Amino acid sequence: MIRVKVKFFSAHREAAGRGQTEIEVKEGMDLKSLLNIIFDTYPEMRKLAGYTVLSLNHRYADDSEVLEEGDEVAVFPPVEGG
Amino acid sequence: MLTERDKERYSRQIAIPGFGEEGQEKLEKGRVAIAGAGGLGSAVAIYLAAAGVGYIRIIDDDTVELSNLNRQILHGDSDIGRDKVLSAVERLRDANPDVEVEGVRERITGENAVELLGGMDAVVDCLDNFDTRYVLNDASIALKMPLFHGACSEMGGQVATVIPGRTACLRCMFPDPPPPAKTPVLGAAAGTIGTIQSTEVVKFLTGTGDLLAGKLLIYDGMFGEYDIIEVKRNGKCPSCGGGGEAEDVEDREGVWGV
Repeated sequence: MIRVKVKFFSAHREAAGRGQTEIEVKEGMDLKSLLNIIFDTYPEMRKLAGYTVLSLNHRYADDSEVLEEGDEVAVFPPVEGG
Repeated sequence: MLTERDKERYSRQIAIPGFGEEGQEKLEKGRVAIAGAGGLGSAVAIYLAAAGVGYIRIIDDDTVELSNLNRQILHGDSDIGRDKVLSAVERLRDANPDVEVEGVRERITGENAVELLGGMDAVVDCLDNFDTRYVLNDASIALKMPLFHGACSEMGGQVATVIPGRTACLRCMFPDPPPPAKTPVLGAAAGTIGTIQSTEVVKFLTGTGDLLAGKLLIYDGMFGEYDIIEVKRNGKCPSCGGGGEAEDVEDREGVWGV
């Protein structure tokens, strides 16, 4: 198992009720599977699934990217207002 | 050439290392379009005018409402019901009569966007919805014109600088926007995001520092956190095509950082 840090911003933070967490996942897990675990853990966040942006270690990431020990994932929405 | 009055008026920014009188002269030659005279547009416009950007074109088709006034600091109580571009132009001319200010009362559409941005060096995205942002994004790509994106919500927001042909465009970054909604916004959050956009524009025009090009800054004011994320071009982007190679867009001052 490996541990990754997950940070939530804005609407995703509200849905999670917290700013960050650490999640233990199987080696070789990709971002998409991690996101499913996150949505299962914080069901409110699933409503935001259609507009969820992911970054891995402070760069935009495809959800097929594979996680490694100590990775930092950020989960946030596009913001719209002006 | 700067007059003695200019040198005094802008003395505190001319003194910034790397800025100088040369930077001020570049600002005076700068021509910037501001799309939207709302919360972001208010902050962007007032700071660009105060900084002495030579020509500002502010575009908005809305009128001032009471519920705008918590954040749209270009407009006051006595402006309720008036066109936003009217109060914007008056306020900006008062802030700095040496700046040429043009108000355009138009809704930005796919038909008029390229024309509305004609003759400008840069466009600042101070819009409140992604449909129009995509239109602006496409026009900036067609014109190879840098686009300074900002958006705000509640007590935070996001900023990114788009250099067409070199960095991710808005649609690369946000292919799936949230559904349109009346977003809650604190005035100070619009100000925070708008003033970062203004700083980006000033750096671009003067060739100072490094831009947030290829980067997305997200600010969560509710919890006092921020993050800067490297964004990448989407090879399948319907707007910019995501091209693998940097296109022939001149980096005038070497400040794009990409």
